[in-house]
Amino acid sequence: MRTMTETEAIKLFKCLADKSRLQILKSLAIEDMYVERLAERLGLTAPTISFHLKKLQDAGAVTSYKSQYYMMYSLCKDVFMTSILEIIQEESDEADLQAKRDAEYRQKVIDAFFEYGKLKSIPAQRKKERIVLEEIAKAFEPGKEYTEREVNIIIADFHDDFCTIRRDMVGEGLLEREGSIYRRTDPLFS
Amino acid sequence: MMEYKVSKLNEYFAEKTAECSQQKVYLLADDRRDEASFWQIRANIYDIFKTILSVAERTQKSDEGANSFFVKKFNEMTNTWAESGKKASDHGDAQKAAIEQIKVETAGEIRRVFEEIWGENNDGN
Repeated sequence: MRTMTETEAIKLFKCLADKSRLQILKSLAIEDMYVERLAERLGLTAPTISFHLKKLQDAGAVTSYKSQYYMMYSLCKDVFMTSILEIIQEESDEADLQAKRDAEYRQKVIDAFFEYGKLKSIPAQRKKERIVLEEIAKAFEPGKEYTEREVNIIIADFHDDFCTIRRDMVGEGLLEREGSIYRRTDPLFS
Repeated sequence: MMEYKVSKLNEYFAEKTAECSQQKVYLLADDRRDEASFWQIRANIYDIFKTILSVAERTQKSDEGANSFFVKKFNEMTNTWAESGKKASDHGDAQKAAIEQIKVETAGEIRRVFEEIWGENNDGN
């Protein structure tokens, strides 16, 4: 069984520090259940149960599967087999922590600027714009050649201002241009 | 007449906001922080419509004008929340969907009370 990282452990503990979520877990410890059944059992509304289940899923405490017409939720028993002693004995590596902080910052920027895969606005700060552009660059296959029209179509899926984004991606070295042909640079993230 | 209706609605808003605060305190004491924040969201919705009502009262000369102003704002806001909630559901974003549903439900309750009070045919005595 894989040991939980510090970030994962903190996320799980934060998630568990809620009476309703603990009650959901207690119910799921008895048997797998669907949202409406949990709602009825705990006297909460279905959207509130879904809200808590999403948090529990994100923390790795609960998993879901489809069964006929219902989405069933079950306890991730493995997560609860880890002892607290194992978690606190896990060594924290400063380089790992820095990488985690960077990844968290990156995710925060992505969450702030993208909504359901669409770019809400182009960040004014260069550092944030770079992260956003790197995210868009993932839509391009490395080594594949694209015409300007193809580049525009791909970028337009994210934001209407494809001209600015295309130009900035070239400026940031994420796309390279040779005549009218564009290529994603490789490696993408330096 | 409008003054009487506004005052009745303000009483309702004050009552509901107090209820939200009470629920919030209870849920926080019961270690249910997220559900407590749902009550704060409800309180904020009452506050938003209380503000809209006060603007309607200040800017509109007649009952009908205030009614149209309030309903127009109501529809604009609830449509946005409903749309955002649907989008969240479609994308499996249960957290946002739950929050948008609370906003829409609270607004729906406000609308019912507003119509009840605004439709009253009395002189306030």
